[in-house]
Amino acid sequence: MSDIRAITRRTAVGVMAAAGLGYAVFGPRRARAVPPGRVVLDYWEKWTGQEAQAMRRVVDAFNASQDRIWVRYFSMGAVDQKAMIAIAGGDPPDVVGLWNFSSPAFSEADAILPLDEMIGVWGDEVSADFERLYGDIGFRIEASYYAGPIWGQMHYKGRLWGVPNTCSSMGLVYSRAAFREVGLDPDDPPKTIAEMDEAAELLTTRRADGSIERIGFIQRDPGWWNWIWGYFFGGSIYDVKTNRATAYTPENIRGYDWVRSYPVKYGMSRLVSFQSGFGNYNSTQQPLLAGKMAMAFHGPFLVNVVNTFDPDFDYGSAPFPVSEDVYNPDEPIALLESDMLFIPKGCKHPREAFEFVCFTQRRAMVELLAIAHCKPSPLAAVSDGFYARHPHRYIEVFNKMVRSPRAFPKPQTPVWPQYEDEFNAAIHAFWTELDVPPAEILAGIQKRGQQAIDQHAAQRARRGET
Amino acid sequence: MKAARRDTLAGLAFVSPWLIGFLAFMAAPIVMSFYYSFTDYPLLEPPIWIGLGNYARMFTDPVFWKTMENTTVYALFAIPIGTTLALLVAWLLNQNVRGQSVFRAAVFLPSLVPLVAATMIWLWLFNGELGIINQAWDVVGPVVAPVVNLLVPGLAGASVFALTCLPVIVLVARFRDGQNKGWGLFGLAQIIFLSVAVWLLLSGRLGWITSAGIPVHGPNWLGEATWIMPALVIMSLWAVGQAVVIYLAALQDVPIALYEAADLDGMGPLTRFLNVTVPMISPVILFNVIMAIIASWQVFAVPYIMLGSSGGPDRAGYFYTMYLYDNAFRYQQMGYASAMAWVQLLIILALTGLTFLLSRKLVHYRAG
Repeated sequence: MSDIRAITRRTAVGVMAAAGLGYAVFGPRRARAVPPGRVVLDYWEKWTGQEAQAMRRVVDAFNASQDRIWVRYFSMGAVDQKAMIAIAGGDPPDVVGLWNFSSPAFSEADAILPLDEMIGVWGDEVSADFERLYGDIGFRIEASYYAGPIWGQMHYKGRLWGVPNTCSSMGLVYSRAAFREVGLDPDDPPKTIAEMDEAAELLTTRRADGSIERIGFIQRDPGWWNWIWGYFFGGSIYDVKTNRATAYTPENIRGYDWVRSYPVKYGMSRLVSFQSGFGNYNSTQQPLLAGKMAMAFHGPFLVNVVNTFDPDFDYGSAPFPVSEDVYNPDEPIALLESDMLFIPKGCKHPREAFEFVCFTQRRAMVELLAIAHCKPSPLAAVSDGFYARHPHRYIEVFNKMVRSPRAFPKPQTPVWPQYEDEFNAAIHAFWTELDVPPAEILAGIQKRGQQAIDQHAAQRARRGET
Repeated sequence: MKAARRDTLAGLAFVSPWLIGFLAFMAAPIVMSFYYSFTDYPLLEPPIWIGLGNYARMFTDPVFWKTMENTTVYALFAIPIGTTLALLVAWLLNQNVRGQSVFRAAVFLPSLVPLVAATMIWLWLFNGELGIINQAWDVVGPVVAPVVNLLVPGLAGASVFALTCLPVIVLVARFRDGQNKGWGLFGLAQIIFLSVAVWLLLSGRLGWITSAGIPVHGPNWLGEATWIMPALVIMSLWAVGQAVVIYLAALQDVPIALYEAADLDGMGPLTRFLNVTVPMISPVILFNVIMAIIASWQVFAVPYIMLGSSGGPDRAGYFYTMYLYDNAFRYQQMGYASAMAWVQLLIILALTGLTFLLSRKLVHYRAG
């Protein structure tokens, strides 16, 4: 018995020693030494790779610019879900990088702090600090400093919740070489849906067996915006004033009739099969680069992929074509998305977090990120040389879209994930269930979307809110 | 007494990492989730009691029923095919042939590949245009499909017969006098007919086999709602090696004397397999089937990686656990997700209980 105990004791000591050694060798490391005496902020952000590196440059610039605060930058996937759990668990980061469409869900759940209150309390103090440190304030969190639609996206229900670190408008990106090849003028891309259809037809090439070699355009690639097509016919899928899902409207029906026209025209099976051969977005197999598509609905950031994998690729950009009845070249219809910084409720250092957030809004920092991410600027005006330094040849096109009065965001509703999932699930039906009219599919989406909205409203009502 | 107490304390100390982990990370959340299942709980705000509201909501939630259907169909195909294949491969690997250990390692090796890496490989294998599966199908399909399609009407007729008549025969033959009648060729034929019948009818219902038969050219596996489930079932066979190892151990545990006795009785290899091997390893088959039932109700990572959060076209690859996860962490409906988790537990318990009940006459436990 005593032998067994001796062995047990020896084993226990051995196991503990091994665990300790393992922890010492393989355990967590401090990424960078924090200079003594600084307040440490944790900043969670969604970006990885090249985009994360650019944001790290901003963080490094902030850490080097003063001696009171140190920002630790953590790059991660599914940052919204992780932030939500961390906030619920009472241990949130000090700053979190989400999207403009995150503010309804996070603000209604009381998970983020309103920035307008912070501006009132600490705004002057931070401005004075910046003037002392950098010689100028360099930012203003007010309407005149930001592009109009961006200023709108920073707000939800009248409160200011977040500030943009980058933004992106989406439009038409096309292969100028493919245009030349079929006799189209690459300097005169399609402006209306009818012109788009004609160009797509010309740009589509087939092999001897009838299979598709290159498609002029399809609505299912990259497949990130399946809900959008009605907007180019003057529609919208959500009315923020009445809190109603509005998928089933004549404009949206026209939009999805147009989506349906592609599998009808080119053959559903052939198109689906052809599209399954598309490679990854961030690779040489990106369909536009690989010559499998001639036109795409995309953001300017695609050019970062172009410049990485095929810098000689001759691309063009323009606002996405719209139906003739809503065409207005001065006010392009464009999707506008923003990456936003928020300060979570319960964070340890809100004052310091606010200072860091203000630092990211200095024009130099905003433009540093815009150029590195290959995106337009969210600010009302750009500095001299911004366009010259920008890697996108047509960034002015996207900048104009950011400022368009008809630039629209993803619907600002807390149930956006559910509502968007309805479109993602239904896009297949628009394409393949040719005997079901698109109007019928849209009616179903609207019904289920409204159910989600009503469920959320009931949830708020239980908590005494409207 | 003192020494015994010390031993107990030492034992508890050794299991304490697990015990503390279980209490903190499993037991407490389980109890809390039961409470949350009766509440409206949007994660960031305190839960509000709503009684059976979450459970009632399931009855009118079409996505809930879609995920139930998907998970059930997956289980109906993946479990029998996986079990049969694993048993067959284990039986082959149990034969004394040169290079036996190499074959065994080769079968188990895929189980060691990280799931995400394996899924990425399968994404390319299932690629509708460039995938190797369709490349092979395009070569073989034009020859094989017409032959199979000629047989389909005959198989369909046999299926109708099997579905209407054979269940009665099976019940009479298997459970007469409440005795275990053994696994004869007749029993095997019954099972095969029944399986073919159910699978054919289900395949027809799910659109995998149409009136035109199976397609001559490879389908768009992950691009068309119809073909997503077959693709996921095929991929589930990738990890069959784990079950094979368990079957192999069981096969090696069958007493040689029983095989010798079977030889003396003049049994051939097939009847020997059915009447000696299968009964002797039937407890292991039961164990593997139950594990497979549980696993099939927990499918998450593969379809999530392959098809994204909404399960691909028409939510054809949207599984129960994916919807549960979405409700908890994307839609902030933790109360509803908790209710779903408890329903999932009840389903798994019911299926496990049913399997035990049905297997009472079929599983042979050795005396002692």
